[in-house]
Amino acid sequence: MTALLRVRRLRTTFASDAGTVRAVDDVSFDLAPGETLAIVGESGCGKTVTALSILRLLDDSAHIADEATVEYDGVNLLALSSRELRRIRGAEIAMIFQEPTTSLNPVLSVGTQVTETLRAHRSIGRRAARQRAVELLNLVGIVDAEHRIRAYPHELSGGLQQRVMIAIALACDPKILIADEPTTALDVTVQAQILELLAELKHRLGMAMILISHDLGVVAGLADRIAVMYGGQIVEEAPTSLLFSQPSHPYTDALLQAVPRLDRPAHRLTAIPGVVPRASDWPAGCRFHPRCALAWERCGSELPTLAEESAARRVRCWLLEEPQRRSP
Amino acid sequence: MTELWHRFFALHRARVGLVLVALLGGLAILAPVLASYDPSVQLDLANRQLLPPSIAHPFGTDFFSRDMVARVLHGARISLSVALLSVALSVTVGAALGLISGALGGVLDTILMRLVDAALAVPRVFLLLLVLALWHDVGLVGLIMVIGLTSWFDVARIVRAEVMSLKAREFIVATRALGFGMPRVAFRHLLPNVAAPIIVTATLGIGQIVLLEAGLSYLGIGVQPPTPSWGTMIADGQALLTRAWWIATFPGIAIVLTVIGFSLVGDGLRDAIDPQTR
Amino acid sequence: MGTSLTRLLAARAAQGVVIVFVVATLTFVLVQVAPGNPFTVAAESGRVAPEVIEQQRRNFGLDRPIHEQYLRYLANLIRGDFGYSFTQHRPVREAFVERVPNTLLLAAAGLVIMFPLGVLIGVFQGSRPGSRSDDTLSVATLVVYSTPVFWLGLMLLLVFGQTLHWFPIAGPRDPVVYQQLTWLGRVVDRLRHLVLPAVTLGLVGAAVTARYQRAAMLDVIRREFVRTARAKGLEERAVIVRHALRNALLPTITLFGLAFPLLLSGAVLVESVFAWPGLGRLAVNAIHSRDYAVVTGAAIVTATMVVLGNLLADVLYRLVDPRTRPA
Repeated sequence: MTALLRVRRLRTTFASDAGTVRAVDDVSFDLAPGETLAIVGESGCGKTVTALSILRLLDDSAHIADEATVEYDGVNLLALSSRELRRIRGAEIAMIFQEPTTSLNPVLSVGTQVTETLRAHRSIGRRAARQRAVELLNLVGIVDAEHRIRAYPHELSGGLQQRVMIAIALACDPKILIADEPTTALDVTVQAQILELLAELKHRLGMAMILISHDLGVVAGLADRIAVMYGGQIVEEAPTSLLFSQPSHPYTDALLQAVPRLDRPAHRLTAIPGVVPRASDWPAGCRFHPRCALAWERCGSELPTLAEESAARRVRCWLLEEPQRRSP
Repeated sequence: MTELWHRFFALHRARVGLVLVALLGGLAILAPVLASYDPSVQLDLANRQLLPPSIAHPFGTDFFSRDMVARVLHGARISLSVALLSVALSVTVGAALGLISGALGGVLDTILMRLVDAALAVPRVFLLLLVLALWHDVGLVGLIMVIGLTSWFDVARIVRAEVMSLKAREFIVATRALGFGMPRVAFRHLLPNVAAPIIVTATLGIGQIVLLEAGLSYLGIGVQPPTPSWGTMIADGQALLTRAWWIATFPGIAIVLTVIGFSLVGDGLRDAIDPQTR
Repeated sequence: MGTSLTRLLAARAAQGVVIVFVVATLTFVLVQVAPGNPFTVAAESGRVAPEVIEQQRRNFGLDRPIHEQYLRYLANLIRGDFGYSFTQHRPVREAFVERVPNTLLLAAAGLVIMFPLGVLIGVFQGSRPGSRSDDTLSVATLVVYSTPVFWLGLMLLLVFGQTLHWFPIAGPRDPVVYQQLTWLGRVVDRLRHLVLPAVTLGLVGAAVTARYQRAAMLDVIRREFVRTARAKGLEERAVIVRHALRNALLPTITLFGLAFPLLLSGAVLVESVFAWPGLGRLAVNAIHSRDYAVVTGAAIVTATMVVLGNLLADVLYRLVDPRTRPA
């Protein structure tokens, strides 16, 4: 099956006082139509920058490497002109962000912000756009949409604001929705509601989704596949159930250990020792090795490549070649 | 603190400003040495009146055959002294009143703040016109006091805001409970937070006051002749504008450079303290 | 909008009245505290007969107790009576009626130049920070901002008035020809005389506004809703104008309120440069002859103008920013 989105050798760097920041360092993955891929990792691992790189929404200070390609439907997004890219943004690939409060324009009504997207991509009259906006608000579960459409963002709760963001994103029936930490800024109960909404929309509309989060628990219910990122790279990529039941990379294992589980006997949550290194200063060799309990000399000197462990899974770890070192 | 200096020096504009300020300060201090003539001496009314710029007199001479370079240099002394002393006064008064007002609160605070609002409602020049009309012939010291006593409002507001926010914070209540007195609290917590914005305000204020003093002197109610002031020189030059453009021009350029210098330093300090805005 | 908004504004207006009242009180106190009295100069000059002075003293109630004087003073103010100007030989109010419109005209003209120009420059700079044009404009605004307004006026006068003869150099209209001009001719004449002084005020004001606006733009453009707008696939122009600019103009409206005191202060100086018959020049002349009534009156009148200007800015702000409207 041809992939809807093919990211190859994505490398995004920033210039800073501390030197070159290699936020995303050789990331490649595929996204099939209708599939939900979750990108998971701690803050600073490069997952948000990856998402922003796909749609080229970064500041001028960011630089995407020339050899990187992001193919959507066969077209390299990184090579498009601004005008062509604009036609993809919001219409074919849409994105929602973490903080709905600051991601919505405070001086425009909610309805205007929805119809704006519609009228930017379709030749649609005012009335029809407004109608469609009401439909979209209904679709995302906002009651009394006819009235809410005139509300300003500050008049809505966080959960409602996020629903509005989703409505804006879905306005033109995108094939891919990129959701960057969509629930992180929300209360726990509201989180569940939004995730449910996303699941429902996924089924109804059949769109593909890239879901970014630092919380494995959040993505468990939604994702078909999970890519774990660390140090600007993907360290493990596998179908969800496989990842949870048999994590391969030590970092994935550690992440899972840190998540409290109801189906296991209660044990001490193990925090991962050490801290996430700075993106301007990745350690030599495997980037996780300073914090890895199973590391040995090779890990400190050679950076492992992302290798296929099986048909479904890729892992970036030398344990793949020396599995005997796994058992203590 | 050292990190602040590093950030400050990293900014190109701040360095330029600092150089300008240092240069002007140096010129002002060394004025008597640098000037070839005395600024108030009428050199030669017959022959050296209203001479255009030349090697002997790089800034020309004025109506009274006084050397303009000397006058501009000495004017720097006056303008800078007035500005520095006024700002020092205004910062002291402002900080004191802001502290009292914020700490004591209540009726006193309300009254003081209403006073500040009222004083700020009257445009600066009109306020000074009012005060100087009532207290005329104040002399240089008096002028410094008048300007200083009408420029403390911003500093007072800054200090007051900080004091009030401190009052509300829980750890202050905790320290009070532990028996620490107010002065200690003031020094260790208030001062660090308040020092930076005050320094920025003060630095920018110096530039503003140079402009203000020049304006007042131009109108004839600031520095009085024979004391040389850039403002009075410009006023003198106005009547002779077509005949002797240099009399009004060079003092004006001096003012522009001075204010630019202090503005750059002030902006540089502000950016060093709060690096977010570029 | 509704009644809660009008109630809010009424509250602000009431605050304004309090401020003017405090200003009036302050001036009264200052006059009392200051050395001498309004008649010292007149008495010393010997030009006014002692009986007249005594009569004036009684008229002004200067022989009455202080609190009576104060109440009288306030009552007069409310009626618009600012006292008598002995240099102008007429009630201060008359002099104000004649002069204040000239100052207002000058300030308004300055406002009209400074805001559009300043906003345009600031927005331009803010949408391409760090670029060559941004840096050049930053230098330019800094220089203008650091220039004394009266000196700028003189330089403009020298170049455009006396050297190039493009514009007249003094006064609000031609002293000789004005009477013979047609209606249109008069308007043109007045405008020609207004150009240099208004441009002087406007340039300095524009420099201040541009710096402010640039900072506002930089702050807004970094905000996330601008990123959302781009992610929607909107044209860059729509992103800048409808999203960034609309939000960046909000702080400029507050600047509108701050502009009034600055313009009025500047007007005093500009009026002296161009011999403009406004309130500023009146007050400056009054100082030299110790005509207190004029100076105190001027302080109160200008404070009132500033308060009104702030009120106007407040209304504007609430109209534009939906977050400030009560629910």
